[in-house]
Amino acid sequence: MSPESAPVLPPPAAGAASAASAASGAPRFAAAVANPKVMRHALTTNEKLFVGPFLKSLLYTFSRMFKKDITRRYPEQKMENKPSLHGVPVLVMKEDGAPRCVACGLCEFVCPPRAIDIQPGETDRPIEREPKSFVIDMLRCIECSYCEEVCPEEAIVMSTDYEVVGRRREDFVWDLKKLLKPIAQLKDRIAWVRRTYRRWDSNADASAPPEGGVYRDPRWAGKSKPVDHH
Amino acid sequence: MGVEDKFPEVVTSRLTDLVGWARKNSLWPMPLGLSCCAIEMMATVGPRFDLSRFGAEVFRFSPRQSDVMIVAGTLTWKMASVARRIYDQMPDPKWVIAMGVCASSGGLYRNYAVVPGVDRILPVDVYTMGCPPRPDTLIRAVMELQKKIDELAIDGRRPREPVFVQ
Repeated sequence: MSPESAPVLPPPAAGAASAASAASGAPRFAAAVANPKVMRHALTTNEKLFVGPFLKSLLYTFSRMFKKDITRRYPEQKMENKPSLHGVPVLVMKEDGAPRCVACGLCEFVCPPRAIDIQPGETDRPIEREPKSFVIDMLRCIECSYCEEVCPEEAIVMSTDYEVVGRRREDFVWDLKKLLKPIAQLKDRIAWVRRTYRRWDSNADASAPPEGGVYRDPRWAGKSKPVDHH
Repeated sequence: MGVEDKFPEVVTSRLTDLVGWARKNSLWPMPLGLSCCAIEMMATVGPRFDLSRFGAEVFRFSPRQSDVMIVAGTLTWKMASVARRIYDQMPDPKWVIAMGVCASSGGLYRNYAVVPGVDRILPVDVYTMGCPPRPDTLIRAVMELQKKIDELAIDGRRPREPVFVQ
């Protein structure tokens, strides 16, 4: 764009009088004069020389050298191990080594990318149903935690393992052996799940806070009879 | 007997080891940012996660200057021929990281428009889980790729011969 056709105003130091004269001299700049805030003014000598802004940017970069380093050294410093972290979904293994899952298939149904595949089976234990095979394709899983939310048995929860990489797609198909995790390692997340999803439940029962869990809602302290559903 | 016996201050190595060491510590990625994974990829080279600690911060937007292609996002069939052409323009040896579940397997998208895994059109070296993966996961994928390059010979294809010490 040539200087004649560019909508450029005179420098601000020139004042309103010269702006008005520019408007009278060149009618096609009238819009620029009427609304000078949105149009660029002509460059001042300092801006044309480029030295001032250049030194300013250098000074900013240089001053960063004395500020605190914000880099997190990943392989050594992992992410903060919060229970709210969405990681890989895992199955809860009870103290006797059996999965909590009763193979109802709700998570399989709700899973948006259809990453879960369950084959139900029967056992002789008091809880008669169990998954014969429970497979999650970790390359499909989007870690949305819908499965955890829908699970009536608190059998599938999100763990805090979040970096899963591999060289073959077969390595990402996790079966029951790889998915089961002892309940002792998942206590924090289960307590977080109870606390969070109960908040959305308008029909929350006073007997819901469990005795075995880590978290007990202080609002129900002393008012409820603890019931362990498991 | 060897050079190291005569001159104890000299360290000898094989050319394939030296080239592999140089390659794995100077990966130049070609970002194929297709959707939200690209945002995490940008965060990975930012100061908080700083991929340059692994020598892989030089994102080249020209495939002629790149070593590793990071496919970050949902690859549609319409884009597939472009991705393949970009891959073909990269000089050998070259590697591919499939970042996120969309690139790895199609992920959420089970339909006719999306490639069910970029390994349909590209030879993928490292798959990454997550939707999108955290920058940590991409760094882990780069580390896994470095481990893989360390096992390759000088042509970037065959496995490296082990060293026999008598």
